[in-house]
Order: sequence, then C-alpha cells, then structure tokens
Amino acid sequence: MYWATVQIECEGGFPERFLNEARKREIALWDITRRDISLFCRCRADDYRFLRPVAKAASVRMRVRKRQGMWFHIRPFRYRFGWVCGMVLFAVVLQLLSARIWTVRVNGNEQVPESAIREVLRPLGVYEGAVFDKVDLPQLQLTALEQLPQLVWLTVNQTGSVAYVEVRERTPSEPITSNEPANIVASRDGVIVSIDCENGQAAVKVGDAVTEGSLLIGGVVDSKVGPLLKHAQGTVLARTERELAISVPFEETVTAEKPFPKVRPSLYVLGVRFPLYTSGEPWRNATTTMHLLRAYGKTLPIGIEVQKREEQETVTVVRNEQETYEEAVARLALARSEWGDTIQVQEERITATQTADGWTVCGQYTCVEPIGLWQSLQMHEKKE
Amino acid sequence: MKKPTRRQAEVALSLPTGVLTEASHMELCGNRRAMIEGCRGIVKYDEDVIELRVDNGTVRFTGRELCMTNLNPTCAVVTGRLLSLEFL
Repeated sequence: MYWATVQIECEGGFPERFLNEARKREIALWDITRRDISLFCRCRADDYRFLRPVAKAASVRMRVRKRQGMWFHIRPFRYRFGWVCGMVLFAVVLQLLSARIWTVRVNGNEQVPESAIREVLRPLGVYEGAVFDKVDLPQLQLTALEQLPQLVWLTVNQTGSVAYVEVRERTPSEPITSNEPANIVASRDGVIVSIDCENGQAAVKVGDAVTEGSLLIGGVVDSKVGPLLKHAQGTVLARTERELAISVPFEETVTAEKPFPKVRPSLYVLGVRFPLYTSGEPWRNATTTMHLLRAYGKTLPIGIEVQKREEQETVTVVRNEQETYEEAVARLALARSEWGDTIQVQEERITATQTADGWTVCGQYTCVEPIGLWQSLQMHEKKE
Repeated sequence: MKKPTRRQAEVALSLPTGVLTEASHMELCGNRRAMIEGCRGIVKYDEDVIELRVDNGTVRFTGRELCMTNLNPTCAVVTGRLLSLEFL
C-alpha cells in the first residue's frame, strides 16, 4: 500500500499513447480500465506531476477522480502542531510505559503486611515504574524469602502491566505447653467461685477467701512414690472487688488536634512524586493517602498522593457543673471498658462527690474474674 | 560457412526457448488473468479488446470487463473474463 495514491481519469486524445509514454518514463500505473471514451488508472500521488507532460503529448485531458492514502488523511492536520505533538507523545508514552510495571498486587498474605512485602521487593526491582525484564526472579525469590521468614513461597507473575506477587505464609505451629514445674497462685484478693483443675493439685475450694499470692493449684502432687513435680494447669474464678475513681476539674487544659490538618498533595506517576506544593520538604511523620485512578477495574499508576499532618494545640476547656459530671461519668465508663471481657461485673456502685475544683466519681465493682497466675517452683537442693 | 542463428543454437543445445532469443513470456491463470513479461507497448486499449506489442509481434486479448491491473516497463497484467488470445 502506497503512502498516497490518486485515481485519474483521462479523456479524449490517444489513451494508448498515454499509457506507452508513461511506461517509457517508468511511471507505474495500475487498475487501468476503459469506460466509453474515458480511461481510468491509478498512480502514486508524487508521480502525478510527471504525468502532465505525458498527457499533453497524448492529447488527453487528465483529472484526478479520487485520492487515497494516509497522507491525504493527515494532510488537513499539517498546521495543527498540538495534535501532531499529542500523537507523537502518545506513541512515545505508549512505547515507554508498555514495558513497565504499572501496578503491583500482592495476593495470599494474611499475617505479613503488604507494605512489608513491597518494601522488600522494591530494591529487588519490583515496584511501580520498574522494567520487569530486568527482574532476576530466582535471585528475587531467594532474597525475599530470606528477608521475610514468615513466608515459605513467593513468586512474581507479570500479566500485561500488572505484577502479581503471590505469597504463601508459614503456618504457625501449635504453642508448646511448658512442662516446667509451676504453681498457680492468686493474682488478687477474692473469694473462690469455681475451680477447674486440669493438672496439679487444687489447694483451695469454692467459697474460700484468698489473698494475693495464695496458692490455688499446686504443682507438687503427692503419690506413693513420693512428690511429683508438675506444671499446674486450670482455671480459677473468684469474686473480687475493684474500685475506680475519676476526677474532672471545671477548668482543664487539654491537648487537642487542630480542626484543619495540614495537607500536602503530590502528583504520583509510576512511583515518581511531583510535589504540588511550593515550599518545604516532604514530611516524614505524616499520614499518607493515595488516590489512584482506576479504569476498567484496573488501578493505574497515576494519581494524587496526599500527606496529612495533624497538629496539636493546647486548649483550656471550661465546663459547668453538669458538663463536668457527665464528663467524669464518661471517663469512668471508658476506664471500665478497658478491663476487657474476661472480667464480668456483677454489681456496681457509683458515688459522685462535688469538690471546689470539680467532680470526683468513684465506682465500686463486684466482679467475677480469673485470678490464676503461674509461678515457677523454686528448687533448692538440701546440703548435708 | 553460414553462422548459426540464436534459435538454432537454442535447439542444438536443448535450451528452453527465450534463453538466447528474445521472446515474451506469458502466463495464464485460467481465463481470468494473464501476465505478460516483455511487453513493448500498447497498441489498442478498449473495454473488450487489449492489444499489446511483444517481441514477436502483437498479441490480442479479447474478453469482457478487461482491466490492466499493472503496467510497468517490463511487465503487464491483464485481468477480466478472457475469451480469446490471438497472435497477429
């Protein structure tokens, strides 16, 4: 296919002479047809001007009937430099980006964070913007598994411009129960509610009152052959008393985050960041959020990275009596929630006292909780 | 002694025709296409008749919807529904 061709129509004169003369001048013609008195043929567009003297010699009138070829399509754009530059840029960008990794996706990880895997793979050549052909896969697998001992298998597959990192994590083995001889003692004062002795010898029974450090399940078990040393195991629940006290003043100085955090956006293109702010260096201790473009379900390596730094300020808070009381109750409930689910509160008594500075809220709780605590047996050899 | 002609030499040496003599080479693909190597010019060009000058004279293609799909200094290709081929 030629860059540009024209179909010409020759009328009158001596068409045969026209064809012979063109052949002598080595002007290629094709698709020559005769219709009535007209002769149609095709030639290259740049040969057309050489056909003019030929037509004159053969006394035929020559006209262009049709123009074909890429040149005639792009010719109207010859003065549109922006369009041409865009096309050239598109071709260059396409050529440059097609061989590079646009997105890295990590699959198969549950315990090991994706960021840790990415950090290890980055110096090994797997990151957004890298050329995948330069990746030495066997060396990458050896190095990555050495640096990530939680993984047992890792590989990188390239599909188009996406690098899929497939990993398998090491299955954690069952925790080995220590066989070291140990007692279970009380971690706080209380009254025994239930005792479930799995190993060892129970030293208390339901209803007994114990103090902190009292023996609950002993690791020394009497037998016919003498005392046996065991690792005591079991669950001991006791009714305990707990107390919390929270004081909130009417006027208080607190540190709070500023309502409008500072934000610094950057243009992110294939791992390269172009700052969209004018002054200052990038923050190191800031929350980074990435907003990447998506097309047809694929994440593109182009987007906006936003660094957000929340600054704190000292604020003096002044409350009235009611607000102070409610704040104290709320803080007490918050402190109570930090105990967790293992401690069951059976009864609570809240007392509030107003002082000159503020409110003091006290909570007394009757709880049922496990109080067992392992304590190793201290062995001393008797010297005779 | 009379000098042997090129044609006689071809026959004596059992060479294919056209090796020593100037002879046009024609190739027909059924009645649809004819390729002529050694075309020296066009004598007549019409819808139903195309006459070409070749080394040994003139060849006339008669048919319908005749078209010369290629014409260059050494070769010509005639396509269409060829009905007859005559050497004049």
